[in-house]
Amino acid sequence: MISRPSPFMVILTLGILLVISALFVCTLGATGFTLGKTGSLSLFVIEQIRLPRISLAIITGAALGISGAVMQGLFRNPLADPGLIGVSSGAALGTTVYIVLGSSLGLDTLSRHYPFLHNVMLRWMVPLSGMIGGFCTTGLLYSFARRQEGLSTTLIILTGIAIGSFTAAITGILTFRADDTALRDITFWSLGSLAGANWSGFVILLPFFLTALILIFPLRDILNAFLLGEKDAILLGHPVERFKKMAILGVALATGPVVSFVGVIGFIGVVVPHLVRLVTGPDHRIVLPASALTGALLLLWADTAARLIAPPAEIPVGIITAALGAPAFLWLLTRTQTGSALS
Amino acid sequence: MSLIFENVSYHIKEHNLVGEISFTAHAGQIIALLGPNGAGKSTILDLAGGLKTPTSGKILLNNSDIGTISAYKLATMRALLAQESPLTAPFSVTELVSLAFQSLDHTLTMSQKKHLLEEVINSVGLAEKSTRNMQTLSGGERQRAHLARILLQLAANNRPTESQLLLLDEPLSAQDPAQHLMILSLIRHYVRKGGMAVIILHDLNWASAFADHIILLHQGHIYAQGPPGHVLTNATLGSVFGLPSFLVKQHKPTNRPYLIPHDMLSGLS
Repeated sequence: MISRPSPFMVILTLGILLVISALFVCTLGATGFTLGKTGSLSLFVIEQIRLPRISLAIITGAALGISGAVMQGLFRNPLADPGLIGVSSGAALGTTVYIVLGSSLGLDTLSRHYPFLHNVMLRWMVPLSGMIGGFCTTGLLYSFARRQEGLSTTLIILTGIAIGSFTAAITGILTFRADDTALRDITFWSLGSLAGANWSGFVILLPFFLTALILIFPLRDILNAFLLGEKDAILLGHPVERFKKMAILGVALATGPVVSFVGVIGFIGVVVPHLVRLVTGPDHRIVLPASALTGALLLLWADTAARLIAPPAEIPVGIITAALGAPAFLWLLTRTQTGSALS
Repeated sequence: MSLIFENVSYHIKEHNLVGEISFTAHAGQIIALLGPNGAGKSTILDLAGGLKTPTSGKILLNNSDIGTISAYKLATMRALLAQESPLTAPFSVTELVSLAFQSLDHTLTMSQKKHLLEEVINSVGLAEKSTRNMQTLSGGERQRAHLARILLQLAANNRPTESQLLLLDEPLSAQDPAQHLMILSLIRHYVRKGGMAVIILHDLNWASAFADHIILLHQGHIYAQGPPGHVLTNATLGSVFGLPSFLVKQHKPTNRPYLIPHDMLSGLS
């Protein structure tokens, strides 16, 4: 017998939890205060430091969670995560290329003559090169996996593995060439951190995130049909080839930019859809929004832990999500009877 | 509904899966595709369902070339039960069957949907298991749940039964004898309402009892076609299946043959 909670209640509960968490987390940190009693310093801390960071955590977690749900549905594989389409490894390559080669290409010296440009570059070149790397890698993977008869999901996985290894090799070679500062920057990026959050970064990410949501949400019915297999989805009249393109584009738009800004944050994309399906069942009409909300909720708390565990130092949030996510994932695997079922 | 194959061939590289297939089928008919393994039965079903495009020849569905019909419109005209569906999610029977709703711009109200759902699930004998997880059901029950989903796909849109086509790839493969009769009666009922069904069967006697038109395939070609009494003879079956011979008897009132392989009888002695 299967009984499911009402979709409305699930979304409502998650939504309320997210709002309460965001408000509560606002009050936690090095500058302590209680709501209602705020001076100008604490107001500044909230408006310019904590709120942008909380907002960034929410859209990053939501993007990773919903992308994971789309990937696992598209590949009909519970181990799929947004990284499969090469967007994260491409972003890693892009940022490493900039961090290591940026100075030797003379970009730094050039921009030093123009203080404004220098400022802009200091702040935006890493995420920008990450985005370029991510989108290019996904585009490359797409062109490799495309056949006359359409896009093959098996080919995407295999191509993704090959391209992932290749970009990792190039990234490795570049790391080898890197000086100490560059090496520290790369390591920091690859562990993921929201410490660099600010409003302008959020404003840049938001359109990507919203576009991705607009692309992804209409896919919910077809994702359900896809659980029957590609053949049955076609038989039910769904535009399967267009769906595959939209899913990859949506995931690339959702994850590429956030990964470029905050670095690699593991396990949210894999574990969150699992947790959600455990409660809601496999229907993507509820799995998609619930994964977005749960991803946001988890990353918000993981980032709060990152801020609070060892003040004034910050632990990279990617370490926390991996440290908590990996055991949670193993626990999930022991719970499912087959280990392979999308349950 | 009319389904017309005009000299249809389908190749994959140099392999000729089916060649020069021609037949015409009309509403109100059950067409059975018979033949040994690898004779091209599933390929013909996939071609009729628009899943494969013929290498040469033409397939007409309601007098329009199947290649010119959009995937969405096609889904309102025909439904196909595959040999197996690799379902990987823990849907309940009801959830699985209602996936058919999600692909259609239907105008049904909630209560109409609920009624239709109950009706199709009931018709395949799964009423008591409608809330069960698909993954805990037997192979035969899962097959019947998918059959219900296929039936709902046709029932849920506004197109009249007369312009719809049901394609079933071995719907009896996982079923016990009681279900054989139940499923074939269900299909006959559907066809009597004006629909059309093309079914791949392996049991010659069930085919003889229920089919209006039998297409006997051999190595990708039509060996014989026509009413059961015409196709199911010792001579044709012997050369197509390579069995020495069948003991063919007529059921007098319906003029339909029933058959027992001689080998089976010799096994008894």
